[in-house]
Order: sequence, then C-alpha cells, then structure tokens
Amino acid sequence: MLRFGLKRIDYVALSILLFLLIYLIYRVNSYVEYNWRWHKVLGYLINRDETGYHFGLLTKGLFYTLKLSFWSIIFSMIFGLIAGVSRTLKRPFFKIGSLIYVEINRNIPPLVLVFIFYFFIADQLFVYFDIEHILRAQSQTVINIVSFTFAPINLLSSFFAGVLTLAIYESAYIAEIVKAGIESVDSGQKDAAKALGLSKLKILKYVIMPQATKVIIPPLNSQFISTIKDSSIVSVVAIPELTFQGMEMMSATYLTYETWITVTFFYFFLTFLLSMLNKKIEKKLTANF
Amino acid sequence: MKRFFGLIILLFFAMFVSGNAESVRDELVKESTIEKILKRGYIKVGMSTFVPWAMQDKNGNLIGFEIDVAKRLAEDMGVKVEFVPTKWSGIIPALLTGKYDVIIGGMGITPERNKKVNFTIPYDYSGMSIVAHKKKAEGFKTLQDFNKNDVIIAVRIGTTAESAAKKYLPNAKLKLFDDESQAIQELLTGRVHAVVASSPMPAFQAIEHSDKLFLPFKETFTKEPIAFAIRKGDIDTLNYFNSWITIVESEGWLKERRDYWFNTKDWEKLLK
Repeated sequence: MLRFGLKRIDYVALSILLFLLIYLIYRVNSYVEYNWRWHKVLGYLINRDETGYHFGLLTKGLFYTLKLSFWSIIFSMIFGLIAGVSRTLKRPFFKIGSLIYVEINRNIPPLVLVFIFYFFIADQLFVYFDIEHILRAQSQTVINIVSFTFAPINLLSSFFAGVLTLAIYESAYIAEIVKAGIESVDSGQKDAAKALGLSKLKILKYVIMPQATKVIIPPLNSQFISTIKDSSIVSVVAIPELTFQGMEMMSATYLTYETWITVTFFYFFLTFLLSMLNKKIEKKLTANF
Repeated sequence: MKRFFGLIILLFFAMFVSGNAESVRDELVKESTIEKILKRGYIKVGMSTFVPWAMQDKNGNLIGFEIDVAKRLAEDMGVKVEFVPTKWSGIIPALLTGKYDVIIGGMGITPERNKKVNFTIPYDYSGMSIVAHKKKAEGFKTLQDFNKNDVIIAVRIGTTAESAAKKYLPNAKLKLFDDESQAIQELLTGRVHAVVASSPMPAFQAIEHSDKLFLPFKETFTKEPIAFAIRKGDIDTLNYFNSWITIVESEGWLKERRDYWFNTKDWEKLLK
C-alpha cells in the first residue's frame, strides 16, 4: 500500500478542496435549480428488452473511443518512431524532411487537422483505392471482423480520417520524445560501437535504442493518455465516439449535467486505467537495466 | 449536284449531333445518383440530430420523422439505407464532397442554400416558434415584445431558426449554439430570454419544464418548406424523389407519420 505521510498543511488543503466541492454542488442545486434525473442515464449505459441485454449509446461510444485510441496509438508509434529516428540522422533528406513533418503537425491546431483530413485527404484516399467497394464485396465474416476491429463499413472512411489525424498529430510529439531519448545516450557509446565495427542499423538496434528506451517510455506513456483525451476532438466530424455520443444523448434527453458527468467519469476511468497499466509496464521494462 | 452533296453533309452532321445528344443523355442517366444507388444496392443519407426529426434512442438506433421517411424511401427503391450522422454546420459541404447521396434532415428550402444544392418539392412544412423563460420574459405575449435591445435569444447555428430570428427580431441579441439542447440549457439557467426553434420542439420544452418555461403564443411565426437536398444538376434523381414525395403524400402516409412524431409523444418511451 502507498503511505501518504500527510502533514497539517495537507489536511488544510484537502478540507478547502472538499469545501469547494460541496459548495459547487450546493450552487448547482440551488441556483441553477437543476432537476437531477440520474435514473434516465442507466438506460444509456445498459438496458434490456425482449431480446436480452444491450449496450447503451454511451457504452458504445466508450468502445468506439477505445478502438479509435488503440489504432491511433499504434500508428502514432510507427510514424513517431520513423520521424524521431530520422531527426537524429545526418542525411539532409531525413533530417529536414522529419523536421518539416514535426513542425507542421505541431503548429496546426488538431481541430483544423481533423477538418483537413475529413474533408480532403481521407476521402480522396478512400475513393482512390475504392476500399469501401472492395470491402462490401467480401463475405459477411470479413465484414463482421472489420466492423469489430475498426468500424462499421459505412463509418469506415470517417474512422480512418479520425485515426490518421490523431496518429499524425500525436506522432509529432512522439518524434520529439524519441529524438530526445536517442540524444540522451552518451556519444561515447556510439563511438565505441563504431570502433567494434557494428553497422549503423546494429548500433541503433543493440546499443542506442535499449538505452534510449529507458528515457523514452515515461513521457511516451503520458502521450498515450493524451491520445485518449485528444480523441474527443474528432467528435466535430460526427465520429460516434464518447464525446459525440454524449452530445447526441444530451440532444435527445436534455440531461445536460448527468450526461457530461458520466462522460467525464468514463474518460477518467480509461485514462486512469491506462496510466496504472503503464506504470507496471514501465517498472518491468526499466528494471532490466 | 453541289446542293445534293451539301444536303448529305448536312444530314450527316445532323445525325452526328443528334447521336451525340443521345449519348450525352445516356451518359447523364448512367451518372445519376439514382442509377448509382440502384447499382450498389444502398442509399447513403446525410442527417443531423434534431429532436424529434432525427435522434438516437438509448441503444444508439436512429429514430425520428426523417428516419422514417428515409427508410420508406429506401424500401420503395428496393435498396438498403445507411445513415451518415453529420454536424449540422457541415451538412452541405459533406454532401458536395460525396459523403452521402441525399440530405434528408429537415432542411428548409432557402435561396442561399439553393445556390449550392438542388431541392426536391417539399415533403413537410415546419415553422418557427418561441419558448421563453417565465421570469426573464414575464409578460411577453407577442413577437414584438422580444424585439428589443436588451433581449437575448438562443438559437442553433446555421439553421433557419437563426435566419428567422435575424429577420423577425432584428433588435434582439442572438446567442448561437451548436445544438438545440445547449440552447435550451442556456434558457433553463436563465441566461437568455427565449429560444427560437422549429415547432414542435419549443412546445414540448414548455410542457417538460412547465415550472420555468412558457409559450408566449401558440402559433408559429414562419412557414418553411422542408425538402431533400441533392447535388446540383442531377435531374434524373430530382425527378425520382419528387415523384416519390408526391406518391407518399397522396397516400396520406406522410401525414400519418407527421402526426405520430409531432402531435403525440408516444415515441418518448424509446428514449427512457
């Protein structure tokens, strides 16, 4: 168990926080005169009818956010690793190319990136490769697998627009993290490896990366948590993830506060779980060195 | 002899031109959205949440008047229907970039929108009505009561409610929201005097929150034709949809659906 070791000042701070929270609830209740209808929320999480239990709108949104974040993290890792390693190379093509990539993506608001991808790029790509058509011609099992791992076919183009936007946006930060990690390795290590006659790729694989990983992993974890949080911005193009479904629920029921408190809890649940999981992985990975 | 040759050339030319016209027409038909829909076996319908025109029930299934219309349309065409939920502010750009075949989303015909899309004949008429805060708008009885400098009106951005409020209440201040529920929340907390929206939503809200809200007057103050919107220049598709609307209107089916969604609240149990 964790031992907190609270001092008097901590108790004072905690009681002030508690007081503020109670005051906030009191204000909402008395000033806004809000009619709490929490029982209505339950149906949007899980409900049952003649055919059995069904996941509600919000729960489905949560799953969608999970899928969206998962694929975004995978792709952002790939893009980020490539761009980050390129940043440390001497060849101008890699060095300048990756610099342009990182700077463009870091200096455009993610919201604008979403629109660019949704309206121009993803659509053009989809039409060009005719992915939707090819997929629809497949058997039902293939369609089901695609629906489960990615998104239902009619939402596929918007799903990938969302994943690509998030992946590219987050990869710019991951590239910087990777670059910093590689640069943190003492240059003597590289020289020594060179003197031993290792090839460039082998130096990266066996000497640099194992040491850089230790530095890279902690900030990378917080970047993953950021990805989950940032995934809410794709709701602006009606991708049915948690935030969008929250808005849909609010439109249909007018349960403004209940909806957003539930959505907040869901996001916190996701990110907190990931953060705990990451801590464990972090310990295991860094223990080897 | 010369004249004869001239005639032959002329005939040849005429044949070529008419043949060309025929092939152009064939080409147009082949390119029409209707043909494409029939060929691929499903229709993509763009819509945005508007209670009770289109909304998601607690399981995430789409329900509403527009949804019924689109489903019946697809059924009559013999194809499947696929809905593409879209933000209202981006609904026309997304149609133009080909994200769906048609907007069936309670879109009112306006000259401004008509510059960018083609409209079918109307399948519904809606009107704007107003719901006001009991304390803030106390004693307000006519539209003119709201047309004052110190009155704030909340509307959904990009809707005909926004243009109606600008036209009929030029003196009032407007507060724009992305969703109607946000506008209603603003009204419930008393930060605005009233919300302008398509009937029957204001009336439903006045019943739902009878302790805080009221209807200053019962009638709607505008009448707006609602139609499908499609990409420009597609006469084949336009004609098909127009004919379909004429058929279901004369059947009485549209009226029956309107009664269900706008004059009863039986559908509310799907949301709870």
